[in-house]
Amino acid sequence: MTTIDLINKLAVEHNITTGRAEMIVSILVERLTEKLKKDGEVVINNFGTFSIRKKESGSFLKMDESLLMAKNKVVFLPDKYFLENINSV
Amino acid sequence: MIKQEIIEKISKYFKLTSFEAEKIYDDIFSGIIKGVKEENIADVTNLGEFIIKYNSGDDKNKKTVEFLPTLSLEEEINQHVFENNPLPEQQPKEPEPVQNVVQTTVIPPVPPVIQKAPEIINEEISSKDNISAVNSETDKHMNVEDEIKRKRDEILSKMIKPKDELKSTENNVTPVVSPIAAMKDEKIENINKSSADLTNNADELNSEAEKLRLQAEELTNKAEALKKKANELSSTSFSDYFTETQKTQKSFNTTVTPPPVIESTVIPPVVTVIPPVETVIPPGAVELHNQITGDINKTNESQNNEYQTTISQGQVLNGNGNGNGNQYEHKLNDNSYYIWYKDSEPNASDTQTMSYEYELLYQATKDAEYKSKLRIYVTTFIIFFSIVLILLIFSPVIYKYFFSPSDDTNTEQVQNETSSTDDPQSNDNNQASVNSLDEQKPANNNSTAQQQNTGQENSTKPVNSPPVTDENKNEQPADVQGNQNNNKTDKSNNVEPKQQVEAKNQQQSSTDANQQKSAGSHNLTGVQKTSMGWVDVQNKVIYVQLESGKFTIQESAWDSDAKANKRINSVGTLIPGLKGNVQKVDLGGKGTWYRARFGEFATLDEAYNKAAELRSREKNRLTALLFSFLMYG
Repeated sequence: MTTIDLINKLAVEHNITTGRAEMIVSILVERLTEKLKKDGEVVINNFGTFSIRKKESGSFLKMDESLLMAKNKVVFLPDKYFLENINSV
Repeated sequence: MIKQEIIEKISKYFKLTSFEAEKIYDDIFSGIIKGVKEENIADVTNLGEFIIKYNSGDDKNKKTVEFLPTLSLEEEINQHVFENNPLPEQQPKEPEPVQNVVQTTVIPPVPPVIQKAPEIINEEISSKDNISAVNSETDKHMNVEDEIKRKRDEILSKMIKPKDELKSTENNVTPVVSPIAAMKDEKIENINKSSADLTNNADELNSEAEKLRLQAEELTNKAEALKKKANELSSTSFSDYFTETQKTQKSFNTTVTPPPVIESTVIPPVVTVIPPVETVIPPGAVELHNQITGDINKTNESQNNEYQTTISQGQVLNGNGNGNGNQYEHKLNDNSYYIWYKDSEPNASDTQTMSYEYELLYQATKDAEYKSKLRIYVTTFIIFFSIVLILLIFSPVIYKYFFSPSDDTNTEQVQNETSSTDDPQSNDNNQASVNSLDEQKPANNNSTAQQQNTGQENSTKPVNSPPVTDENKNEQPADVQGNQNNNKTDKSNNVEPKQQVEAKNQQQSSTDANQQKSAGSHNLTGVQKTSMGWVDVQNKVIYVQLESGKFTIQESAWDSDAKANKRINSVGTLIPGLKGNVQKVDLGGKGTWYRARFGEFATLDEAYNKAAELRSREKNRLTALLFSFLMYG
């Protein structure tokens, strides 16, 4: 499933244009990212939790002077509802 | 929280109710879950991919979800972390050894961090040095718990104490110069030195740039002067050049040859004016133009001399000459040059730089287009006209075989009837027309010749011929046994006494006289009297005299009653009021036939006129059909 499928589905179910549906999805993603950047964690009910796993900075190239690169990673922990839904037949 | 924010935003931007917005919000995530469940993957743009991962250990939840964020999201988050450096996790929650602190603070390369670092480091180093110095005296007699408590208190006091106090303590305590601080100073000095070098280099570069600018100005001035000269030369007419050359000729007194002088004077302005034009026309288009105009030799020349030298291959591949299109690789022997025109958008600068060659090319393409269109129109007109001619030429045949097949079948059946009566062995004769009756005359003549020998009259005798005694037998409708009867009567006649024959002849003459009265004296062309009746060759009908003495038109004979009735109906539509009837005839070996007969007329002339009217109306109908077919076709 891709974003286009999701947009089409939203447009059909809610009787809105695909352009509007695309805008809504993009707003959601944007807000989610902003919140994640700001708080370091976003909890969405019945879906899961996005969080930033922080790692120590280190050099990724063997050079004389170490070049710092942050290696923070976005982690997603699925909600119970999500897991049940997936594992149900 | 985020849910409320997003719902508010959606409802605000898209003018939806909060309920609707909430439903959309829930549907988005439920859609993702559904997608993951059904397709094992859900890709959300600018966020990431949710992929199903199988857990072998966990029996309850065999499937879990793994999230792979997009690169853009990771970069964004990492960038955000850098901007808000130091990270919250990197800040030491507990006091750490001095060496670790130094490592964390020295490393970041970002300038503001470097600037802030010395102050922080000084503060931390000084405070911790003091603490360590104090601790070194008392640590010996303290337990571990006491030590932890003490450290905690110190941290708390450090957090509570204002910076001024810390500074005062820093001033009171004698500064301890560590090797790290020395390294830091060295680095700062190095940076200062490098910055000074960079400023010097920048000054040098600025001076060089000024020099280059001056040179560029000089060059532009020169170029402007050259342009002015070129414009002056281009504005001068050919007569001016001619006068100039005459002057030069006079001045040199034929010492210098004039043609090179003219070339040297004329060519430069042309060279200066044309270049934009040359870049406008792609070489493929020019070749095509020369092919259209017929200058094949010119193409080679132009290829060798002009365009290959002026236009590089890169220019050809990058644009279409106008600077608008992208691809204009023109192969020979195709119409791609035309596409080039269509693709190129009108541009004001192009019209200004449009050359004579460009115009020629445009006209050539227009001419070619016009010629091709004209060729198509002419060919279509010729084809249409030829079809019309063919139809007109073969209209009688078309009429015969397509529009009135009834006549053919009719006549064929009539012919079969007659053949059955006259010559039973001529069944193979398939000639289909009433005219075939004429061809059968010899056969009839043969039979009549035999009859003549027995004193009977020829069956094909004209109507005006005087009545003969045995004629009635031949006039009656043909039967299968007709011939046999005739032969029998002939034989009987030979046997009978002459008195009886005379009496019979008298009776026949009386009946013929009656018929003659009813038929009247007529000079109808194409009407011949046969055994069947009066055969009208022109109108292709037979006039049969009924028992009442009236005449009827036997128009056709059919092998079924339905067909005969159909024919009667069709004739009824042509001539309203003309009544028809079907006469059933059993011809023995030939089968049963149904004769379509029309009307009852007192005289033969009336019947003849009606038949002529019928045929003329049929012809009119055919012509109308043909005209309509041609008009709509």
